Amino acid sequence: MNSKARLLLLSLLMPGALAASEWSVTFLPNASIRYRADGKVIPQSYVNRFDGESSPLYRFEYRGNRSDKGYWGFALVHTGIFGGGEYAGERVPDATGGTYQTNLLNVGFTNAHFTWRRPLQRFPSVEGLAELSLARQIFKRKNFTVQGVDAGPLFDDVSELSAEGFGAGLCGVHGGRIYGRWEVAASHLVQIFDAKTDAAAGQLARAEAALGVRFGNGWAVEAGGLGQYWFLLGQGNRRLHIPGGPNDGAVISWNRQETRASGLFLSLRKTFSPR
Amino acid sequence: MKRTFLPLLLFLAFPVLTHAGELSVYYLNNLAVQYEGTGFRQTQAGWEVKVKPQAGGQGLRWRQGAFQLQYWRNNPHFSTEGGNGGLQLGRTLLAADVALADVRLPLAGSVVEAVAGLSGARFRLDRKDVSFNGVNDPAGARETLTAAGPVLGFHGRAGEPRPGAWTFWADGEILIGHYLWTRNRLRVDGGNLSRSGFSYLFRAEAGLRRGPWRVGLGLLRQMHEVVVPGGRTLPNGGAVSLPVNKVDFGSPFVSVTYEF
Repeated sequence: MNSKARLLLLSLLMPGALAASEWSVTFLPNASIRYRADGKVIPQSYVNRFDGESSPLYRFEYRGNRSDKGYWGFALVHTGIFGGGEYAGERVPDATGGTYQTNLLNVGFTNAHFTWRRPLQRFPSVEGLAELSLARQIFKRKNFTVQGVDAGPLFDDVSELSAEGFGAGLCGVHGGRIYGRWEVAASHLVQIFDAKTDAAAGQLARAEAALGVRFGNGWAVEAGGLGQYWFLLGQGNRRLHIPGGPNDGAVISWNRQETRASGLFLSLRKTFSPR
Repeated sequence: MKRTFLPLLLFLAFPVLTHAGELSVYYLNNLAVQYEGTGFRQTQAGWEVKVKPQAGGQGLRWRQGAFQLQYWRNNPHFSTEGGNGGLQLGRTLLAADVALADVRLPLAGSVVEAVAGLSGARFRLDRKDVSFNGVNDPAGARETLTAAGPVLGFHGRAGEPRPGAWTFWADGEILIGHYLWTRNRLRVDGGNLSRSGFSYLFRAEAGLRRGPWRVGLGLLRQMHEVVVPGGRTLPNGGAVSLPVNKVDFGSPFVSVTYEF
């Protein structure tokens, strides 16, 4: 059983031990993923042009029993459990305006948020939110052509980028049987383990809003939209040797990358009554 | 004159007119500012310049009820800027101005407050004597970066006053901002990332209070990343604007606060 499955199974089993809690599953069937990057790949700088892809996005979230003294939560956001989403075209122009490289790219990610929430004294339906975030991105590339040299269909590359961060935000739930829910948060990212010089690694900012309906027995269904932006720094400069004719290698890592994910979601929530 | 007096006059108007709240004045004696400009430009070379001036700085903070304003700036002077693989060298003056306005509301049963507001930053880079690949351009150029956006965070305070006695106090905040709007002066079609940015501010201080006065020592740290359509080049090839601009500054400080 791989680590992702273990984490998922553990999170699903937690209600048995912590029965005073709220669980939710959020599903975006068609999240739009936009990705841009640029970097210093000596002797010059490069950028990419990515057509953008659609991917299914899932979020599994646990929150402890709501308390005026504060309560903990955990959310795991992942693209691509059942298929990984589509590939889309990526192009790297050269300095003369022509094309240095083309390939297909799938951008996936796994983010984890450990949150602590506490209501405001004056507005109890609004909560302050502090979080520790883990942001991890996976870039799958295939079908490379570099300086006219075709690497063939069997040649591909997978690279990863990650950062850790701490953040702040606000969230609220307003209404009774029919309610509105919203949340905004931003995390400053650092690379504690990967930084060669400066540990500052970017930012992860997210916002969502939903309309929900509560049914009996602690169940609720929501429909809404979410958007997430993250800017990640990387060491960059890495090229992949392409077999075949002479070429300078495929650009597969960037110094600066920006990813935006957005879409409409459906969410199912279950609140367990405290003992 | 405008940079020196206008923001200060605007800021001080609030406590002077309302005669309420608390006003803090900060002096940062050893403010280390680090600027790094990077990003894609349509030239064969030229992707990174850095300048690291070190001088003093000042800050003002005014709080009235749940509302707070704060303003921070450095004392600018010309320093050596280099980059682009050692091909570029020049003299650059970096003037930084940062302002925040926010609302702070306490969490239930806690001394910690949730903070939400707006932040704005302006960075001016005056460049002169830019040498690129051995060719000097004495004229130089001025680049201005401006950014604004929302900010979220937390603030905490400890230490209650006791009449007629010196008592200990502590105060700190961490604010994380996202710039939704950015603009620069030397605009070209450089760079590949969205015109946005982000920031953080960390302040921690502690000291003694007596009556309406507080004195303290503390630490300030800020970082601002501003992405703009930069990439302008001088005739000799030297970079005078870059798409991705990162400004870090931090320093210990002394503070004096008066409660109206």
